[in-house]
Amino acid sequence: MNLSTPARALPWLLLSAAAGAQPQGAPANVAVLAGTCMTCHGPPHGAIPRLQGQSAERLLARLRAFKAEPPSARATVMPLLVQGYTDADLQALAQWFGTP
Amino acid sequence: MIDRRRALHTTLGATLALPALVRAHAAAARVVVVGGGFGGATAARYLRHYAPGVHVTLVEPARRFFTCPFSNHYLAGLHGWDSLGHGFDGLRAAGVEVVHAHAADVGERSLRLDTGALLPWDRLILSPGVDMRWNAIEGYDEAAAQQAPHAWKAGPQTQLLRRQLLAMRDGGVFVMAIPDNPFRCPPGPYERAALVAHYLQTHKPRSKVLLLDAKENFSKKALFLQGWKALYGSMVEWVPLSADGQVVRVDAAALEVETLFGGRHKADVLNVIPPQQAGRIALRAGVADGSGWAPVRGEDFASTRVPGIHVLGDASQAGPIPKSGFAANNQGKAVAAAIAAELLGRPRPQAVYANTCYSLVGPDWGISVAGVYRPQAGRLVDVPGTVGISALDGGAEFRAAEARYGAAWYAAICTDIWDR
Repeated sequence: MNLSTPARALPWLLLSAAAGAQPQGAPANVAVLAGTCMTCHGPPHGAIPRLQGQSAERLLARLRAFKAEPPSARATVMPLLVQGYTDADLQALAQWFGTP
Repeated sequence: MIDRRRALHTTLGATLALPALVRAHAAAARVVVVGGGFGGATAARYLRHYAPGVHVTLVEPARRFFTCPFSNHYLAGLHGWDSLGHGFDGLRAAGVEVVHAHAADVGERSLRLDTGALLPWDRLILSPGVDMRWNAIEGYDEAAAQQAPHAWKAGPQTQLLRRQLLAMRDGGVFVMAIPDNPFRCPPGPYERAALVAHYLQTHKPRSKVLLLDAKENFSKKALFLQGWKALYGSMVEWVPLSADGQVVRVDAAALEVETLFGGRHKADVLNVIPPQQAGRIALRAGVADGSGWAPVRGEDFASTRVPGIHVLGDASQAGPIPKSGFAANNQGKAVAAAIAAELLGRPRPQAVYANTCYSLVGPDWGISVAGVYRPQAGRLVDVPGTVGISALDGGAEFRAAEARYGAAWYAAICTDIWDR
């Protein structure tokens, strides 16, 4: 599973550029929070949805909804994982990944 | 050793007390990372991202790192060997200096390589994975592993076990010895059992998988028991400690094992997963305790025994977080952020660690365990309500979805660490 072809690398370069817009050299709390998401939500293809490119509002609504919904085939682990983050965390993450 | 540790303490204690001085020298700071796997390669990459001026050297003997995750898929013939290998060009492009050598010893603010080279460091990150505890099971040493492979480090051992499985007769018995906790990848043996059964059911349907376990419970137990039965009937038999499951002696030449209460089992293929400990360099550095693992602070995975050294991944012991590639990846990011903040004289960001482990029981049958962990007074604790296994009553659609999510997770984490 070698994904290092230029076509697959491009979205990551764009992501890096977006991350570069943040203040450099001082990892904020949200950067560390967001790091936990990127272990699964990375490449643009595959069964796990990508977070970049969605609106911050929509991301926040979805994240909050996970807190109250039972696991389903559409989201098997997020209803569990999201319990580990405060509402302030979820707001920060939605802002970090989402478009205005 | 004690004197060296005291000397380290003094030097680094003085450094840590002077953040402004550190900030002035941040551009010249040197961080050495040992181990190019899930923990070490992540820490190296993210440290360059968080603190681009810091000089980061990654020491890893292999030119391609082969992952233990998905090596069971390879054993079953679901993936090719090459799909498990990941190179270091992406890390080099991110500004990490990659040195292919073995770490030999840790000195006062320096790491000695087997080439004789000395690498000076201001912070040392050890992510060496595990070593097998040879002879912890009588008769099971490095030579015995050539006949009865552990296949618990992805490499020639995994390929040997695959060849043995292919050569096994129909009607044969695949015997696996499984250790007590803690060990690398808690659900791994049980996923391996399932995927070996998948291969046997397809190619050698009269065969059996016999699991001899040194404990009563294991990760995702209810999900595995359900999946084995549904997909493979009685092909997989699990023998817990209480039913004389603990293997205490191995005769690799005869492919025989003996259990604690004198049971004997003859195998056609014998897979012995022995007890483990932190990789050798952790022991040389003095960061491991009597358990063989390295105790660390939950806030930043700093060693509680030797200042200036952080220990990540399977080698570390920080509380309830499992020894998984996912956890090591999250630890690498948190440690990179903590070290970057320290070197730049900024407040350390709050650490949070997530974990999700998917296992494949059959090609369209996935299961998972998840959890979120946060530091509390030097240890890690799981956040209430976050740790659990996926739904037992999920049904076929749920199981197929988790099989797809597992494959997507592998692509994502490998991209995050190596393949970009």
